[in-house]
Amino acid sequence: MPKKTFTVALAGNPNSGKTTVFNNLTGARQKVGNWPGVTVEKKEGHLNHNGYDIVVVDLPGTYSLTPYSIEEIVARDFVLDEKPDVVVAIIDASNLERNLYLSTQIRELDTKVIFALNMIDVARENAIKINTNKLSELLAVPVVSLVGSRNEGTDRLLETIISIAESDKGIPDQSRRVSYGHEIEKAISELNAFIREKTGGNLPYNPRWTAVKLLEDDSVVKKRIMNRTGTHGGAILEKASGLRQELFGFFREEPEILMTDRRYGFIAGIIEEVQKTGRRDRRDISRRIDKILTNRILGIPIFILFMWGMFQITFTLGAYPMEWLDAGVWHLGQVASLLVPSGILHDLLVDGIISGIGGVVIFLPNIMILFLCIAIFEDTGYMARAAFLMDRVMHLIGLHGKSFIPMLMGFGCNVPAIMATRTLESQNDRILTILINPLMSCSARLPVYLLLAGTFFTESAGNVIFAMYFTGVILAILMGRLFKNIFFKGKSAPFVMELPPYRNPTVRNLLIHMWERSKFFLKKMGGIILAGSVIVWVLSSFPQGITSSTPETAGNRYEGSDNLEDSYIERMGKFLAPVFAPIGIDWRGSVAIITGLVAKELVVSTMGVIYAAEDEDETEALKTALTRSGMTRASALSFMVFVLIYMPCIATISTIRHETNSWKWTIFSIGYSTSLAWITAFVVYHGAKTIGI
Amino acid sequence: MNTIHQQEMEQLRVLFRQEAIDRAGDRIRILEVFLDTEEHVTCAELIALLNKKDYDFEPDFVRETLKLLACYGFVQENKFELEESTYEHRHLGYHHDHLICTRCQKIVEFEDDDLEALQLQIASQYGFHMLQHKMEIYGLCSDCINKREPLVSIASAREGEWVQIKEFLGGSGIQNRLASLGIRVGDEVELLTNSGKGPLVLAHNCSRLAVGRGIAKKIMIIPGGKEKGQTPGLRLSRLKEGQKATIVRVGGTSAFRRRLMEMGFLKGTEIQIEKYAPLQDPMELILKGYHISLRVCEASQIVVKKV
Ligand SMILES: Nc1nc2c(ncn2[C@@H]2O[C@H](COP(=O)(O)OP(=O)(O)OP(=O)(O)O)[C@@H](O)[C@H]2O)c(=O)[nH]1
Ligand SMILES: [Mg+2]
Ligand SMILES: [Zn+2]
Repeated sequence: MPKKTFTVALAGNPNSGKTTVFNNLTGARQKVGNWPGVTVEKKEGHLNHNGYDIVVVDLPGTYSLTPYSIEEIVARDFVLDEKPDVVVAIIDASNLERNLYLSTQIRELDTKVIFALNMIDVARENAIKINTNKLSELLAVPVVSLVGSRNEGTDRLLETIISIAESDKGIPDQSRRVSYGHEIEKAISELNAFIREKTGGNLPYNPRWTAVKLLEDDSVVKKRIMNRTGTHGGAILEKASGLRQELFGFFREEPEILMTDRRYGFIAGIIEEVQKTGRRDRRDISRRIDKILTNRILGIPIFILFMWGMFQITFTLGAYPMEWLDAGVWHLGQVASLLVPSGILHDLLVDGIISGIGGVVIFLPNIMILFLCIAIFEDTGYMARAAFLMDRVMHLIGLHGKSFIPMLMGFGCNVPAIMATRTLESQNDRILTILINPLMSCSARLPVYLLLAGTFFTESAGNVIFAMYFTGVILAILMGRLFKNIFFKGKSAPFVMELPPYRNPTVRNLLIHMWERSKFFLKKMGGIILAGSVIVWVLSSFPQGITSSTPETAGNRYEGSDNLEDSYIERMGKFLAPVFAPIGIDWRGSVAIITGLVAKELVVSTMGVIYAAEDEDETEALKTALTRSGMTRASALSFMVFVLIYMPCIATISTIRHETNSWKWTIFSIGYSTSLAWITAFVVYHGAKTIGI
Repeated sequence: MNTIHQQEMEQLRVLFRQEAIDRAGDRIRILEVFLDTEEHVTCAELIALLNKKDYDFEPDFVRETLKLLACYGFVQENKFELEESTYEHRHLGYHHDHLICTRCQKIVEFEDDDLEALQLQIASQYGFHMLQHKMEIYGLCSDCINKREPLVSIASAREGEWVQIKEFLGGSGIQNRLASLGIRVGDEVELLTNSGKGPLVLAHNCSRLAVGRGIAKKIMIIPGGKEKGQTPGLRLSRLKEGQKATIVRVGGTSAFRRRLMEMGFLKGTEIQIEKYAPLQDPMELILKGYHISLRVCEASQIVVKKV
């Protein structure tokens, strides 16, 4: 029997649990988080069931079919243009009324629709009872109840999807629909008739729906009509705008506003019939938690405490597994030294690969802890609160509280953080947020701080690291302010953001989150960092590499460190040295900074390789090598600051290019960050030297 | 005597014959004299004119004839409030409409072909044969409006007042400068600070603007902070933590209003202030059972009623 294929789209309000259901259906591990706007791209997954090959598409959340931001446009375009065979409207059952606003509109689209009432558990807790049979009867759509977070109801949903996809009566009967009132209905039917007459049915969407959207002055539908119907398009739009004028004259109110009102009226009628709210348990835990966490006095100190705590834990708690890994790497080096005979292969393995990768991989636990902390912020719902708390501060730079979410995410990795700016409605806000995002120090820069702060500031390393991140935030605000004044004068977009209730983070989600990031990190180690380390090793061992690795010559190498003089890497480093000398960075640091452009983890790898190649005693830790190389506290600080600020890594640059869709901004981002890095490092270096750090 | 008048006399003869009206000849003479003058005349004035032509009809007969002529649509009787009726020519398909100032009694005549066509069309839609119509627009003439409410400058408004900008003094330079700040005639602004000297701070479209007193003196508003019949209501942003209210109106740009309405900010919806953020901005609201945060200045575009 040939496989049957069809497409199912998951659509719904932000944070209603679409991705959770998507993961349940397909077994995928897409990111889930308790704040609106986690998913910003459509994601496809496959599912084989009873001989069906089902393509499931997870969409970003939207509040209506009138999009305001890029990710909402993606969702709507998919539903309208790709015509999935079945649309599953994921509805947050604890907030039925608002969720029905979108769902009832999807139902009018002439596609097969299923209403999935998710978060039934939350509704039950709030004593909300929903009569699903009645709802299904009234709107002529199948209704399925789910608890996504516990994977309950997934089978029933799947069966319903298949039966609806197979049935030829899946498109809901429209006998019950929103009535917009006499005047508007008249305008709709007039426009509807006009459209039919002009186009003869050659229309992307159902003509009544098109008429409704045109009366609402929907810019996307207008554009589609122009493209599709050619010469008639103009006439249709003119007719529509004439009718809009008439309605406006009649009601003294924009038709779209009236129509929104009428839709909610229709929904109120349905709610009346299907929903019963019992006596509500007054203990609203979320509100109680918020009484403290977003408290007027305590809110911001607690937020700063959380941030500080995050970096402290990352350093202190991470220190133990880090030491074990460090020891492991050392042993590995020993074993490798024993197994592989001296020679070029030995050096490549021990000085190149093991030092290069080992130098970074030992920080995996720290990075995992950092991501765990961010995941906890995301999954509990604290992320949205952070945006709420910081809105005023962000306002200083003319941005939204919402822009703060990508900034916090930037502590993890700038690439998804920059993508997360898609939820911002104004293009100017987006570009500004993207420009300052790399100043949020990502986890790839963490090894540099861990290494240098751990070496030079042993007793207060946690605080030094926190200070680095803090410097990044302050600079981001200052730069944001500056750019706003230079490039993006004008008002910022309105700040409207839903604050979801706090939820217990599911252990599964947290583990998945950490696992995904660790996998990503390890893959990077096996790929770009491996390649980078090998290249750095080659460059630092040749042309004299072969001789220098022999035990006899190695003995004098440390004292007469001129031995490595002629290696390619040193030539490179010395060529760059004049640029970096004023900020206290020697040629080794310069080289590490250059390789760090590829990926910031390579900064530490490179140092590992260079020092290992230079060092006669391979057992010596990188830390000791660093202190012996003449690096001071001041130059360590300067180095950290430079790494914090200078141009973003290649992956980030290409994301910036893609998301801003402009080379101009990409190049600007590279240019400003590098110059800012140099200037700040200069100030820090000389400042630190003056006050005697 | 022009052709319209001749035609009308002929029509009248036919009508009188059809309806068997008495003293048709005398009545036609009265019409003749009436059509000879282009003035609006009262009955007494018409009798005087008849006397000049050596006609001597009883005043009651003249009055009755005028009523009759008006009844058949040859004469237009104008009765403005308490004054004596005046009469004017009424040429079917050719007449003036009136704008009447209720304060100074000035009457302005106007003609508008579109309006005439529209009236014919409406009549025929209802199966009417239109003989004549009367169009009187009552109101205040431009002179009276300008006298009605003296504008004052925003510099004399009180702190915390919402005012609507009516006019800028001092030419297009000032106007351009203010427009570049986003202030236009018709905008509603809130006066945040006005200490009597030094600059004023205005809240406008969710941003704060400091305006020098010199410029402020050129921004004209209606005193009292309210336009006639339209009191600025209580703004959501004025409520305190824990207070509840119902939404009366959502203001702001069309996109902003729509977004809010789609999220459930509808007229009549109950809304509760949960809290203000530590730095007083934004605010958290509970609406339809969910929590949402909004900037204070955006909330100031929502008019509410306390419950
Ligand atoms: N209590 C409860 N929580 C749920 C349920 N389904 C999902 N969640 C939680 O709700 C939050 C949002 O879930 P997501 O799947 O990320 O929501 P989404 O619709 O994809 O959100 P966006 O991508 O932001 O539009 C997460 O914290 C989930 O763990 C449920 O049935 N019950
Ligand atoms: Mg999602
Ligand atoms: Zn007047």
